[in-house]
Amino acid sequence: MIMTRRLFIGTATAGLAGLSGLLPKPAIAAGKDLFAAAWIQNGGAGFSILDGDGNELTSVSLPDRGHDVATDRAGRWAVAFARRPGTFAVAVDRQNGSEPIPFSTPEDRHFFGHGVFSPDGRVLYATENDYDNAAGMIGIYDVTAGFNRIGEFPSYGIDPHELILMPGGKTLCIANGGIETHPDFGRAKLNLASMEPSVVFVDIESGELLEKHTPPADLFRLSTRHMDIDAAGNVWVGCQYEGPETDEPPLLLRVTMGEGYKPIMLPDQARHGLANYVGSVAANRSENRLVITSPHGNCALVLDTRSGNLVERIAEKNVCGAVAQGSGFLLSSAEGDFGEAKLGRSWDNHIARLFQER
Amino acid sequence: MIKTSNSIRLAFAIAAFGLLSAGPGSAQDASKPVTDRGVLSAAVTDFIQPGYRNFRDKAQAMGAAISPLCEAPSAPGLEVARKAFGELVTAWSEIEIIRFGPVVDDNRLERILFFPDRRGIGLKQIQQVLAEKDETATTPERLAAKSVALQGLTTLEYLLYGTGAEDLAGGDEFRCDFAGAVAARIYGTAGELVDAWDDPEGIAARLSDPKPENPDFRDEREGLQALLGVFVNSSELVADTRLKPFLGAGVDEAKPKSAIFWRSGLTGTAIAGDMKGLQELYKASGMIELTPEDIQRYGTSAMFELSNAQRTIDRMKQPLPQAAADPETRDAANYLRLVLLSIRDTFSGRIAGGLGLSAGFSSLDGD
Repeated sequence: MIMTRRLFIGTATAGLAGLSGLLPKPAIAAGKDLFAAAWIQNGGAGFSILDGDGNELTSVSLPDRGHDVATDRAGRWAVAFARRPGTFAVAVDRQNGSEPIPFSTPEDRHFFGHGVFSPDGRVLYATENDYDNAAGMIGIYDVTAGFNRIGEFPSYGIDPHELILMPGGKTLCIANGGIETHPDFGRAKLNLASMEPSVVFVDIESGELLEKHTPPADLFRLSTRHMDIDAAGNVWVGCQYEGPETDEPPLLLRVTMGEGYKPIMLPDQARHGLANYVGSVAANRSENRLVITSPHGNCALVLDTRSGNLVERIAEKNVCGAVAQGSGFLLSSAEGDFGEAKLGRSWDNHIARLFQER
Repeated sequence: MIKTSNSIRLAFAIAAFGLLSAGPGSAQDASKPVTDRGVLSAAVTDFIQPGYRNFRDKAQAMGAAISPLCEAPSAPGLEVARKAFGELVTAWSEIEIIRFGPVVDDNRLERILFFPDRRGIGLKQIQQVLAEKDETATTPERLAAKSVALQGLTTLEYLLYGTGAEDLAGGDEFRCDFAGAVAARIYGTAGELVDAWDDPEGIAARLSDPKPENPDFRDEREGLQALLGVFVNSSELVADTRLKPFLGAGVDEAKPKSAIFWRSGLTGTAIAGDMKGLQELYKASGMIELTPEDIQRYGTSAMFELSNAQRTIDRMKQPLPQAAADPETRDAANYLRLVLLSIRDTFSGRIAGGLGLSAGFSSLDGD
């Protein structure tokens, strides 16, 4: 059990885990920050919009387990995606309060669970699997036409997982996990002997590949899956390692456009505690902090994005969801923890913010 | 809900009976309290180590059956080799449920069994080697440098049962040497697994005696999580990669030729072997005795279900993939998948909770 589930960082004492609860709470007006996250409960599934204290404003059922929620900058839309290999998504219009809008992939595609809106909120991009061809795709959905699918472009890799919009709004960064799956075989990983992870930058208008960064050959089993951007525009990528448990690969990479990968060296004990699995990555740009979570290792690590140094380690059972909040981070777990609240639901791996700052 | 045929109704009736009559685990010795370490240690010494040794021995026997076939080709010789192959498949199936540790290293899993192979990569490579009479595939040393898809059980099955296999009885020297090299590769990989698990300072020690400085098992919880993961992950793996592909969505969409080992008719044998492996590990480890009494009955019931599923396979009058394509017997084939998914849910839910581990959410099936 941790002393506090909300991390308050950015002060000289922040490095001392356990003391953070004694620090003053950030001055955030209640109700200003809103979040969205998927959950399962008693065999049912759904997603909720809630404040940082865990008060739910909206709760929507989903046909099966969801994964991440995409939100537009205006705070109007929250779109929950099915976890792979699901094919459904459900959009909630907070402006008009109309009925949730369900939509789905075409027959020969499925979602991977993540999506991102265009800067103007008119288009939604989602990571998808062209599974018969083992090719990653980015599905393009017209928000103004009921989330009608209007096109797609390749992710230039297989198993695209999280995708984010780069500052400036013209480039997508996509983490291709590199693991082949096909719905005929459930969630089984079909190519562990020949994985091809990569992080790519793609022009959002043309869908053209701008840059592709692949890890060195000896790290071909390092699946690049989740990411966020720091204040300087670097992408921090959290990885899941599919090789032997005794290997000690870097689990966090920093990718800079025009430069490439830089593995982030974590202190042995901290790296070890991640159990070779990072489930979520979130940056707090104003504080130059990054959190990575490991539900397998039951811990979260906070780093300084300027130095790459570890700032704090939090022990929390099944922690995974993470998002910047105030001067710190809001974390959630499959045990029901949502920030300081405890709800009777297993939160899925991610928390989205409704009012985005970039 | 599935329609109930007699065998299925019987199976569920027995499972329900198990639920009512199940007491504490049968292996419990009241004088010796069961500990986490005791369970982990027993899993290693009474299931994992002997399982890999058995697999290695059967791989050796496989090679010993192929050598005389190559020297003096004959129909009985081919039969002996095929019988050895069946025993090798059984031995592997029982231990393949272990999917952590040395078997994950160096592509050993894929080298031993390249399946599922959705795009038929392995088959294309085998056919190419045969068509070109590629001599580099006829010695284990040179075969080791080739594709992992050529080095394991599916290749050996094709050579012993696929198109042209009968020529082995008539003296197809190249094919026989290729088969011998594959058998030797399997034996080599099996030997690596035995050595790794028998190393007194290796994974066996780390799993049986977890320590904070271990790279993999730092405390008993992590060891138990790995042990529990065998039941959760392997039951799902067998359901989704061994049964689902040939079951298809309906009887008209069944795809018997997508089944593992369909050429040799060993599909049911392999799946029953997986199930038996789960039962053996459950029994050998005594893990259920670490859970409260009200949880133990779920474990007992799950094992009853696995026994019934194996009996269902035994009783089938046709190969399992064909049974899935036959309206009369399809329910029984479907039932096997339901049992495995039910085992997964029982272990990731109640039994995980009973062990004090997270009840199967992100930890067990992350994304």
